[in-house]
Amino acid sequence: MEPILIINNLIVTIAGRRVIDDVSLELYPGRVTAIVGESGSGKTLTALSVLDLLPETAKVVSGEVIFDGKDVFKLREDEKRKIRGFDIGMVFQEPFTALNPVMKVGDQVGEVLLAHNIIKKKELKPKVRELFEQVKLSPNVADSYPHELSGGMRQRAVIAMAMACDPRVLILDEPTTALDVSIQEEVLALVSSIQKKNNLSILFITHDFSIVNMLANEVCVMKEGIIVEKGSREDVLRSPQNEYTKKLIDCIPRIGDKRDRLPG
Amino acid sequence: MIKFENVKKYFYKKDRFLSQGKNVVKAVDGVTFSVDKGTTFGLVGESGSGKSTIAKIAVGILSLDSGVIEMKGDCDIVFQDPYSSLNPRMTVNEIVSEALYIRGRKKDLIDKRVDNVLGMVRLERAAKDKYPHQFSGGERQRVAIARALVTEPAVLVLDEPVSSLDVSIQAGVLNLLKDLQEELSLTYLFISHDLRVVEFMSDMVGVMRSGQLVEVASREEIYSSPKDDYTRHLLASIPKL
Repeated sequence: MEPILIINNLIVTIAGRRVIDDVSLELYPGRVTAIVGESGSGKTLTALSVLDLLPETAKVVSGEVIFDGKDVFKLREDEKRKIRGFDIGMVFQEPFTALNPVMKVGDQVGEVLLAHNIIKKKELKPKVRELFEQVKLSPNVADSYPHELSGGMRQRAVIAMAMACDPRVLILDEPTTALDVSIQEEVLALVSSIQKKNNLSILFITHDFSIVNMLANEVCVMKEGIIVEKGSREDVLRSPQNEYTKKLIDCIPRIGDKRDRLPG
Repeated sequence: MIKFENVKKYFYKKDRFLSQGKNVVKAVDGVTFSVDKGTTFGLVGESGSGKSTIAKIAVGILSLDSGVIEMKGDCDIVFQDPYSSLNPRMTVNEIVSEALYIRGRKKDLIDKRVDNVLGMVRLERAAKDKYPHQFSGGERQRVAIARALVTEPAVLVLDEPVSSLDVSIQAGVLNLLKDLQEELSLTYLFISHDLRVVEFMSDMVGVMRSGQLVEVASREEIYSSPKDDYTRHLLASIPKL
């Protein structure tokens, strides 16, 4: 199987420090690749580099991001805009800051469709309704403002936006970290069902190995800008080779844990 | 050590005209539990369940509307976010010693006590002259623990003390809290949304929802034979590893 997205030997610096240090990974059609790491590991920057949305202070020293056979860094700005939100959808951690507070959520979902010219104005309403149904939100929610919605509903609306143009790749950056556990479970179940239904490729950024266990096919463990371990979910979770991976998995308390102290 | 009896705390929305009858938030609505000396009572619930209101009532930041609280000895608190709970313009020495100056202790005794308590939380002496921004999240939370311990309280309220920390740092802070409890026979009220962390820390567990304790039982009972549907639902929501 040919990968749909390839990151090759990417090196990115901020103020002279390597924040992404020779990162290579592949994302395959219909598969979920998770990047796991702690804060400052470079996992979010890696995700942003895919869309060439790195902060201005970041400098790509070398490496390439190949999407659909093309190097994203070498594309013109208008070509990049075509990929962002169209071929590749993105969901961030905080649904409240990801949404415009003075715009109805339905209009925000509609805006994506109009921006990419894939729909006529009069077809907009039924399409937005359909997208809301897909993320299991009542179509009436379209007329609400973000502050009127719960955290879980907001994140569903953001997922509807990300899915609006029927992308081939979805990037999810800690999409449930700001949510309560029971809501997290619902949102992850939704992501999983959309992924299967649409045969989506997902790049999933998280700090939580139990989410990796739920969703991922392939796993990259990042530390200080470096991928320290890469492999299938089973290999990385059940028989981790790297000391840091082992430590990260072992230091999480589990239900029924008989340990009196945690390694760490 | 701690006893809550039918404690209630309601908040009233200011604009009663617009909120039309929905103007009361029953943050804590008849909560009863007790904690034995040297043990940990874990309070678990989702956002808005009232667990942090209980923390604030226990330590006296909030008053209660009705009910009774009994507490033997002093009580202090460690908050969730060590970035906002420490004054950025104060050195660690100033942060940790402040409570002793307020109590009018002598300077040489204060210095000794600060050294002592920084040692307890495994921070080096050099930390004294540094400012919070010079520390990592885990180290800051140790400073917050030192500040709470400096007056030798018998009870510590820990309100999501590891929720903003990375998992590897979280493990170190949880271990430290267990060590301190053993060394000082501290009594903990441990508040968290994370059922895994609560199980690791607690002897008794209370599950909160909408201001009420829906279930109170020993750790073993809560995690192996939960009686309440909501407890079961919460346990089922945890992604397995």
